[in-house]
Amino acid sequence: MSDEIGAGQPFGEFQLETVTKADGRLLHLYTWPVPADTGVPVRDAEPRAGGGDPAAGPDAEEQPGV
Amino acid sequence: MSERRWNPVLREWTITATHRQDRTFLPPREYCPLCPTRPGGMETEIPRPTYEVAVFDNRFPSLRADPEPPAVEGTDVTPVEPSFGACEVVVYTPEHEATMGSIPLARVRRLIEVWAHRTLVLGAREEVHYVFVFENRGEAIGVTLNHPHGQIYAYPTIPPVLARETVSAAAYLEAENACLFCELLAQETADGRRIVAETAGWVAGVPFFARWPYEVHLTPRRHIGWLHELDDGEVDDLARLLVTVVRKYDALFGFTLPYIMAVHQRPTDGGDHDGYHLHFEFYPPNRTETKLKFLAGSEAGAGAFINDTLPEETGHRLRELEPRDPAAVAG
Repeated sequence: MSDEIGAGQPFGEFQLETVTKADGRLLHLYTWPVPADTGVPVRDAEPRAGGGDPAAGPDAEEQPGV
Repeated sequence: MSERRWNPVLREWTITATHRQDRTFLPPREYCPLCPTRPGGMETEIPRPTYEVAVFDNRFPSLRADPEPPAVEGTDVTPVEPSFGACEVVVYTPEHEATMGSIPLARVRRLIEVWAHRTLVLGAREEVHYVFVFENRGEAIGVTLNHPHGQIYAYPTIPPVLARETVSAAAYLEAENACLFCELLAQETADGRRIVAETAGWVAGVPFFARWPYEVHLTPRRHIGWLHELDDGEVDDLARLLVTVVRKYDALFGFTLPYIMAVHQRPTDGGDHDGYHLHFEFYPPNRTETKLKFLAGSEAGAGAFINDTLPEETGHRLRELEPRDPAAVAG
């Protein structure tokens, strides 16, 4: 007997939006009809360390990544 | 450059991923790539002013759907394979300073829904034989970003620890016509000394054979193999128990305790894994407030863990910490 992962369906009532980033990677944004909490207020742009130009973009070593 | 190299001595694959040497390392908060993109600020991985739960392909993946050819040729003894699979990042919340213990229960529940959905999506891919959901928390564990997030690795083989566990579960089922994990759970709840917290659907406890001083396993009482098989009540219970365990951890020494959280589900290789039982495992590295447990000679060189504590004592200590009742955990 084999276990098939597709045999079940996920619970929940989320909505899924998938975005293709400029470098081809995928971003999946999960949302629900009612927010889980009040959310985080969108913070105003904060000055960068060292007083750089917030619009200048990060240096290569500062690019996002995990 | 990334590839898988077969170790015929240990009978396991080692993944090389040299490009990960260059990944972002503990950026200052204003450069956090997991925060929402602020008006006028740099574009982060999530180009939205806010979000609920976001998942994206890791920019520095160890495994990918279209891997590069291996850097070296293998031999019959030491084959080399491309690193097929996927590496995703799961961002729990837009709040940079939050933790699993501080985010609302409703959000933890939604995180579980996302883990379940990603397991279904990735596990349905033919080349994916195992979907591993995990979280590394704390610089002592080696995290390179402090924003609350976890990861998902979709492997083309069943990783060694999971392979050993599934073999053990199958052997026990064959010999005893029973689930090994259900038997362990019955033993632990009957004994009680190592139980940390319980709900109607889940039990958290320090395992009898804990490798780490404050290791905790969360096990559903019902015999199921994957997150998506949980019912509504079990999802709520899991959310409460996750928050309970993490808050206890943070109360243990008075600081945000580093840990590894590993979600052990059934493989997705289409094989017979009926005997395997879903569970979560937490491994904090601290053995005291100031001392870490290192994987030294016996552990790294011989694979034999030595635990400096008694699971009965660490279980008791965690049980007595607040919050004591998962049902009373405030959202």
